Amino acid sequence: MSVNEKAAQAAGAATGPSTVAAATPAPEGWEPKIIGFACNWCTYAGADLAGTSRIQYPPNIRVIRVPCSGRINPQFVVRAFQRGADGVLVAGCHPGDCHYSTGNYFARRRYLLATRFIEYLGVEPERLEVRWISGSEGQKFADTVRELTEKIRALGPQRRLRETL
Amino acid sequence: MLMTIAPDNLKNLLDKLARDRLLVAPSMEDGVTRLKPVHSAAEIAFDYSNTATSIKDFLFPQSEDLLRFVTDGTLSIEEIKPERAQVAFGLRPCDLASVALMDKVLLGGEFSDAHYQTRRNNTLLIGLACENPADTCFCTTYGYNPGWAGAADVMLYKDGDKYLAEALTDKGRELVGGPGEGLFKPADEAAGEAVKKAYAEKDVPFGKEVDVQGIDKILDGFFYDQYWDDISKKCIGCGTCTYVCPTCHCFLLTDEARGGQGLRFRCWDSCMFANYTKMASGANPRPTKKERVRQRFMHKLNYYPNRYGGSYLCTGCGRCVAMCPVGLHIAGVIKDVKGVKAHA
Amino acid sequence: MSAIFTDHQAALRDEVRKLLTDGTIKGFIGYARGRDSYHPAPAIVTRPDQVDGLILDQFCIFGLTKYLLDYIFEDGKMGIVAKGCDSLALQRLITDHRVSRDKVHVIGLPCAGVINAEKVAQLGLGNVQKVTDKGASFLVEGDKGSRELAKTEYLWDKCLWCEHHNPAVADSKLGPEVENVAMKPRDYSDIEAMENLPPAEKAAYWTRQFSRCIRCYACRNVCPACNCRECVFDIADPRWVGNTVKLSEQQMFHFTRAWHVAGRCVDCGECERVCPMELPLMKLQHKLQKDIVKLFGNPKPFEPSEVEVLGQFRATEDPEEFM
Repeated sequence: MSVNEKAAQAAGAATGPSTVAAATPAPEGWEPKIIGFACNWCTYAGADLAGTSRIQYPPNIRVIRVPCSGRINPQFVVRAFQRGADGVLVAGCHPGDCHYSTGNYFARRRYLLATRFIEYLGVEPERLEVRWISGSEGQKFADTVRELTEKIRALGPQRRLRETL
Repeated sequence: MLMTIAPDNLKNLLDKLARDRLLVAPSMEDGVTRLKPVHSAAEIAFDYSNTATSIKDFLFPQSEDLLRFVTDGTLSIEEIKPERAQVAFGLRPCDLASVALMDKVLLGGEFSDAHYQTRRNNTLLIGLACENPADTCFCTTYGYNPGWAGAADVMLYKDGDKYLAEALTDKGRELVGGPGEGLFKPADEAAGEAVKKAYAEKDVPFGKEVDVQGIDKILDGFFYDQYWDDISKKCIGCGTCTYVCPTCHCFLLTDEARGGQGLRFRCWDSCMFANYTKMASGANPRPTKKERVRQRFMHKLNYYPNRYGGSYLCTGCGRCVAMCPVGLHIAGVIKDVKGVKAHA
Repeated sequence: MSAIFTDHQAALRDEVRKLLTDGTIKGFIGYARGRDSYHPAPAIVTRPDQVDGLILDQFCIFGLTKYLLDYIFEDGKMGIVAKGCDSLALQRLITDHRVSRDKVHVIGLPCAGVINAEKVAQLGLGNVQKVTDKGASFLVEGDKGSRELAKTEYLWDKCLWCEHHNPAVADSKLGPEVENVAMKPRDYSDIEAMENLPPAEKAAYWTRQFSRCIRCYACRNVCPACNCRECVFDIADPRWVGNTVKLSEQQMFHFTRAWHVAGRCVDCGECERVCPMELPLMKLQHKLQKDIVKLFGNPKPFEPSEVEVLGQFRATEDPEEFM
């Protein structure tokens, strides 16, 4: 069997639309793994504030600090899904607040399109969340992470884009 | 010994085989008929001229895992062996001929390719003679024909409402005597030979147009010809011709490692790609399309026959003729080099 | 009743011969006969004696402009024949600053639609001798039979909704301009049908498609918007897309390829047409296109402009969904 076919079969889709990966139950002890891309100037500071304010949020998120939401290439998102993320949070400064003036406006256009496109490829839309979270919004950061974690817990593991090494 | 098998019995046999090994057969999906793993005979397409992809996908797959390694302070290596038994059904004479050509490269000589060898041993090849050669087929150019059995273990010929069958190897005879027991009936030898002859003499119109005789010798002195400049200009440098070709066999080896675990795999390479044979230093002995296009056709029509004696590295399956986006294919090159203008 | 491409073949040859002889151009990118009368192949001629191999007929679909990238570092001009759709591709290369307008001599070819050879070749008409434009149909006469073929059924889909019949970039034109109206409105109903499927069915559909990909890169190589100096798929470090044909890599490849031309695609459909495994690649581009129209109020995102859709923003008018 070619690797190609093996991968297709592993994804469960070679047999047709009726039996697909989502039907497989989550393994025992599974916890959602979420990658959060946070801009340096707002969201990362917001996450920091959540911490220093002792606001609790689920440890399921792994934050990756980037200079600006404009830096977050949608390829990063697909790569995260490929390497095992069950959900991805993309977050940056509110429109108008960008440290670099306009980075988040570009990001907004990009993700209006990318979220729809990734959904079109068969990823559940709930798995990719985009949010503007400022440096003073520690509570919003914690709430966003909590909500996202619960949504993904309900969906189960992400297998659609995951690699089969 | 010639036998016959009824279509229903053939399907029963294939279903039975699919239970304990991987059954590979022509199957139509979204308008493309290609060789792919199927679960039962119901998924098999019987009405096709040739499949879009060849048996190469299953004997020498596009990417193939070779070994896993762990580097957590120590180093441990685990070899991956392609041990699963497979049976390929519905192979056309061009693909059956291609297996013999690939064998020379990967099994002949001092060293043999272990993975290819394993797959070859684990695969039963069931051929199916061509009823309707496509208008891109030219197997007769190389002396093959629509009934050519090549590397087949069992060869089938559609004969009216049944199939004429011939077991050609021990593996083939084991199939007939084992899983196929009771499904095959003895055939009338004389009538069977007549059916085989009719297939062997079937008309392949495009094959008549393309005459390869002596091209290896002409090409000996053709390396520096302006011709390669002229035709390579229209190549777009995609890998279609090499990837659908049943005999192209260039590959590259890559390691991928993350978190102390890794995988070594090989995957096909294509001489049409700009980074083919590009070295780590950045130097590339085939820097432009001209050298790359020339490489492909010289390899098929000159280097291979010179090295392995006689046969060309092409079986006239016509896939590149049909699929090259810019109509730059081996039949045209043969015509051009022999002085019958085919490419502008 | 309008003219067909073949009527201009002699004029094209004359012009190319003249341009090559007087040194205006050093080479010409056109069409020659391919494997049969349905599949003309691209041809690049550099000498006047090759000019008689050039053809023009109603099957000339291949978008030639990408070849210009092979000549950007050479002196002199290249000539090229371009239909309306090809001129959009050319504009793409020019606005991307990859091809310099003054290094191309464009012979424009007004076009009322190209016949879909894949459909016609099935009809058993044999070697095509003559094609006549009958207004709503083409009469195709082959040596084994003739058929009158309705344009709405036998043209390429992109020709049916084409609004660029006349080349926008041209130094000279073959024949008079044709009426610039689409035969039918642009139709995204197949995209909408896909959007309405549950995620699992979308996933199954795309898994089936992407598993078939053989990673030949023909889609990338014909695409006029895929014109990076060095392609992400050719760079070993960082390796964004692995060499294996595992499903996850195939998906990464197709996501990346489609995304990289989001808002830059000129809708020529060449990626899908050349795909040897018949992947419905335009279903990806049309999805992006449809959303761009809806989200950013850009009615024609396939027309190249100096500032591309994702290279700009409108602070207050762009939709806000991420608050």
